[in-house]
Amino acid sequence: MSPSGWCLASGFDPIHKGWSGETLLYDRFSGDTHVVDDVCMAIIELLAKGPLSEVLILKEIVQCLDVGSGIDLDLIVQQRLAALVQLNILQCPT
Amino acid sequence: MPLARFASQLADVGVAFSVGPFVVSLTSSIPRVAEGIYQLYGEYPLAAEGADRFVDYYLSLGYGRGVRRWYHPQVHFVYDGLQPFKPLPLSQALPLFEWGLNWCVASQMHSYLLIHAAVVERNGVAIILPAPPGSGKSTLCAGLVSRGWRLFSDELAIISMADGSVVPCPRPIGLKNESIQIMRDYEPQAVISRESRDTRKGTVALMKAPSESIRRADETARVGGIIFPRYQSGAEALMTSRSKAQTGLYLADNSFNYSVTGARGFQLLADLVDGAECLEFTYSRLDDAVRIFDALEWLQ
Repeated sequence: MSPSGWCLASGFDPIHKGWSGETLLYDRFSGDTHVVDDVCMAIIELLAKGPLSEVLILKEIVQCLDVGSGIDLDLIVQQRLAALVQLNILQCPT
Repeated sequence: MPLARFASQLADVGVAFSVGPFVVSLTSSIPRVAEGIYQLYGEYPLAAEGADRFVDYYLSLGYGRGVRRWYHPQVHFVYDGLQPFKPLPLSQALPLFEWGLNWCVASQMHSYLLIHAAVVERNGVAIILPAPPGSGKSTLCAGLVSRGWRLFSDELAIISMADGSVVPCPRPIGLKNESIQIMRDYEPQAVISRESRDTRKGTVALMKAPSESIRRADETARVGGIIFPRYQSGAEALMTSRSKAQTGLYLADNSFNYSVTGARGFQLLADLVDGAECLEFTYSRLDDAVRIFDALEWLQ
């Protein structure tokens, strides 16, 4: 996968408000509203700075989230990436 | 105004009255409508006469034409000369008026954020009661306002886009099926309309808003709580916390005009949820429910 793989969907323009592990997120471009968890929000904030590979996303997520041992963060990130694509928030790498 | 004069004016030039933030002008020559509107809306302030009077919604309820006037008579809802709905049996005239007025408000009042929910108030603090049909929302709302809570609305939470306060719109409470008898037993003094049977919601009756709620319809309130009621037969009354983000999403999904209000609507909704206690409430007995609502600490 190229480092320029995962990126925010074209036009995605979020505003959000978060409470204890969940964030209510509104996309000014689509008008859609979603609830996302902290991992999703961390991914969105990372990709707002520019496209990243899955490996780099995982590396950054480990640093910015307090994740307990025994958690399969690799799998969690994969699931969240897929979920964010379903919500038209992310674009898959080509 | 006595009923005979009210009915005459209703049939002739119509009666214009204030219902919270808007003014409705209703015309109808149907005696059943005159009797029901008089019973339920007779205390509402009449809009002043005169050329400069502003009316938000010109409505009329009329008979069907031709043989339909006599054979299985029907009632037509007319808004500004248009008929947005199919006619209903004459016995459903009052529910049709309420449903039609809900449609008018929900499709036009975009200077407010409109959410499908009941709202009650005490001590200047409003509680929004959103819930899907069949959850016991209207019964709980009727129970609370029968015990001193102020009725803001049974159907529409009207949120000011300017300051996030809730605007009262105290109209009759729609009671369905078993709830009608429950409220007759719970509050024998309640003014409840004739029942309309075989509507799309079953048997429906309308409970008049308390006089004080009508009188104080210009007093807004801040939102202190968003409580999702759920009637469950035999259940002990129980209040539990609920996710704020999920509450916000539910309100967005159950708003009539959230998509029209854009980012302003989102910000308003997020602030509303942020400043409110978000709770779920299961109950089976109205007395228990009222006691628990009365004891909410953040209302004192």
